[in-house]
Amino acid sequence: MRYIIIGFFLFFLSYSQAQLQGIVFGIKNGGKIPLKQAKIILRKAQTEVYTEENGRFEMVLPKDLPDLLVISAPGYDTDSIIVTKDDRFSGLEVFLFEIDELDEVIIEFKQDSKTFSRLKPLQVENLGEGELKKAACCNLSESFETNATVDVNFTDAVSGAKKIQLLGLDGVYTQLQMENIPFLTGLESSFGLNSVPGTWVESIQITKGTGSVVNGYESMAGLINVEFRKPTTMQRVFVNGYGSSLGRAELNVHGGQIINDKWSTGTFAHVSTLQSEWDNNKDGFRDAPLSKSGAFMNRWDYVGKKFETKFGVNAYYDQRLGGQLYGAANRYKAETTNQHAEFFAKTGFLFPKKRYQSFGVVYQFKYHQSDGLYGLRDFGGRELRGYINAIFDGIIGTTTHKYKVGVSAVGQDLQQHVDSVSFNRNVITPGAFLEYTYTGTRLVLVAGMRADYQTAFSDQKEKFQFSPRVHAKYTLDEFTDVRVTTGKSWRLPTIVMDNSSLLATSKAWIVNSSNEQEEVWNSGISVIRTMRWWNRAASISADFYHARFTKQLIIDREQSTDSIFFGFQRNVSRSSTFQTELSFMPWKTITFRLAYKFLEVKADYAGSLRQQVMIPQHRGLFNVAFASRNKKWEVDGTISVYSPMRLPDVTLPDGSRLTNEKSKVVPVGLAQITRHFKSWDVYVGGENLFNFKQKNPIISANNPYDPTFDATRVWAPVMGTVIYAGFRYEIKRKVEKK
Amino acid sequence: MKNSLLVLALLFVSSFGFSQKTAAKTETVVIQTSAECDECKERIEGALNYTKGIKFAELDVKSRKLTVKFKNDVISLAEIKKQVSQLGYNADEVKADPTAFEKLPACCKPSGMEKH
Repeated sequence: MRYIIIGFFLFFLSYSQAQLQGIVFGIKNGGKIPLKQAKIILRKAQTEVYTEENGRFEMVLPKDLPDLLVISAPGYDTDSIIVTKDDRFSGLEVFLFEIDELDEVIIEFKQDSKTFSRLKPLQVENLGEGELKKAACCNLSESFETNATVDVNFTDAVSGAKKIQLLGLDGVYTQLQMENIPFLTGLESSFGLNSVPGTWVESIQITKGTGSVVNGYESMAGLINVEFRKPTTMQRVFVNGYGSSLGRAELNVHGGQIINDKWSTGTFAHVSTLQSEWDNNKDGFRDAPLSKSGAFMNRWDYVGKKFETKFGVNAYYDQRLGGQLYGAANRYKAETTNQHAEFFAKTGFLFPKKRYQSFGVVYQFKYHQSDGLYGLRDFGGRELRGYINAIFDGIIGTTTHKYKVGVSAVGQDLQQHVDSVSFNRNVITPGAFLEYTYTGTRLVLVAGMRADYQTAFSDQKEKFQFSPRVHAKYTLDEFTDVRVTTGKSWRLPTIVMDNSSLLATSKAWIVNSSNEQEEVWNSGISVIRTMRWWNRAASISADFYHARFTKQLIIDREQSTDSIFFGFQRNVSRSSTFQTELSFMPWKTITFRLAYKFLEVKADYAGSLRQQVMIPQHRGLFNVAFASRNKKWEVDGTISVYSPMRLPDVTLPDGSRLTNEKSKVVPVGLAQITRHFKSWDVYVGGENLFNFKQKNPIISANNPYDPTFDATRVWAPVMGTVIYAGFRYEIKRKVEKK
Repeated sequence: MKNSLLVLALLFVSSFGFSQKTAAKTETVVIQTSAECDECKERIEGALNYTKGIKFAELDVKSRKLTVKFKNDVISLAEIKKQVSQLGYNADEVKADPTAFEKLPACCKPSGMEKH
């Protein structure tokens, strides 16, 4: 009874029957949310009802009163209340408190592995385990290939690395987090996702727009949060083996142990390698680099009554050897090596008597080193980074008004160089933030502000950087949510490592200025409607985002064909994106997903406002997923189509110029079949099923030291169809008897 | 192969217009269980879907109804109900096996979610 707040209010009743109506809310970080599918049981009478989507329920009361009403929902503390005769015809407002105040409960609908959260004020797309298993290979950047929100792009024809894009903006503008701890920052922001094995991940949340100020100042295009498997719920033993027709082999092992009712631990390991050379397009270059990589993570959880903590270490090593085939005279090498070690921790202090309060601190310390070589060009970097963020959660009067307040600090010692030019910085950025959340029945409003003291550049005028942000969600009706967001974000560019793939060319880099930060105002509106078609879940969504950079480091590949220009543009560059998605189940076993996206990413290139090169204006995605009724078979297929994109002008070795060229329409097909056994899964799949390839991805491939050499004009897969197969073996952890 | 034989057999029976009922080899039944949550769904479906003779088993948590399609020459309805009972759940008139029921996690027990 201690944890229950009951508000009695009168409903306008249309029934004359002795009836009880009410609404169930869950109290968690963001405020109160109506709980759907909460169970309400009348103990003595043994009647039972479930709440609807909006948290409401109705129940016919028996004559025999008083009785005990028990309200429960997964992830929340169960509560009970005695119902007497006086409560007939009245309304109940019930609040359930989240069991673990630190963790965000991710509400997932079992029917669809990819869902939009209906509860959060921000547009958050959740990719559950089912969605991640659809593309079994291999790392996180590739796991977005079945998703329309995030684009996976080709970078250059020699390194084999893939990059993500959100809202048409490079992956470096997307803030990455691991369970709300900064992740893959600084040197890693460009290619770090390639280092995260997909099997370690439990779910991913994609937020478009600036997001919460609590998370930091960096989410310019959006925020991707990765939830790794948790020690208490992960498999006791999990083994995954994978092999592809290219000769790529991969092994992933993880397991969790519960030590006692307070302590638990999880350990993850990954190794992969590709040791065969492929040159199907006969240009003398490896179509995919030889690679070797290993990753390890060990994490611990402690859950006490007043204190909780999770901490762990994470390390990886990754080596990619691309370039010309062995045996070539004066061989052109494209080699990159990354070494990484990290410690992370999160502690939370709870107030058992004031469940709506909590105090949390997040720490991270990392070391990262990158070394690279593209032909004669040598580049690399080293980064030491420390981070601390302290957050206090509280309420003003009632849980309708919640606030978060805190301070953070980032210390970064970053060195990077390309040939003999270096771009170093040593900065400490302290900051403070305040966020207020109003949770009404239909409206959720979040207004936040953060200020960071940024002194990276000696000549800058403003030392304080302000990031105001406002997000709102309004529930139009039971099925429809409208969200609006606007806010400011900024980041410090890491010029060499953000753009290292542009070194796979003979073009000179001309850096006019790099000593500034990038700033953006990002605003958006989205509508999500859930429906029931043929009595099955269906949803339709549409959103429009406009990001306007007040300052952006623009990479201009159009001014000349022998140089790449880096310079800041103010109040010019912008991105506008429209995306719409429809998902439905025409049969019980089949889910269709259709998506369309329009991208307009513009900046001033050679004196005129133009669409950025290598960005397709239109993208379509069609995904079909089949799961047999006994869940033994799963088939998944995805077709993505990219419209022609503008290509940078080039000079060919014979002196002729290609100008105003556009790429072709690029179709990409993926499919996978999985057969489940009791503790085994076996899967077979294919990538690039249409075998669509760019014919001559490398310009001047036979003479890589020629001034016209360019491996960065890549707009389609270099490799043809790849077939793969793999298995998963797991010993699940059964939910323990409590 | 068995399916096509079955279809052939049915065609044969129907075309000759026998009024006599032949026992169909594949049957679909709906069993009322005492399942409570998604964990129960996983337990029941996980066990039954890998049982010989069962084509599929689907539990609707809200109504607690378990739909089972099975080959009645391989497994009988009584055997299916017995298996559900051994998992710790009631299956129509067959009561849950008490030992199995005891071992169920808290959330799977009827109105057991409040016993924290």
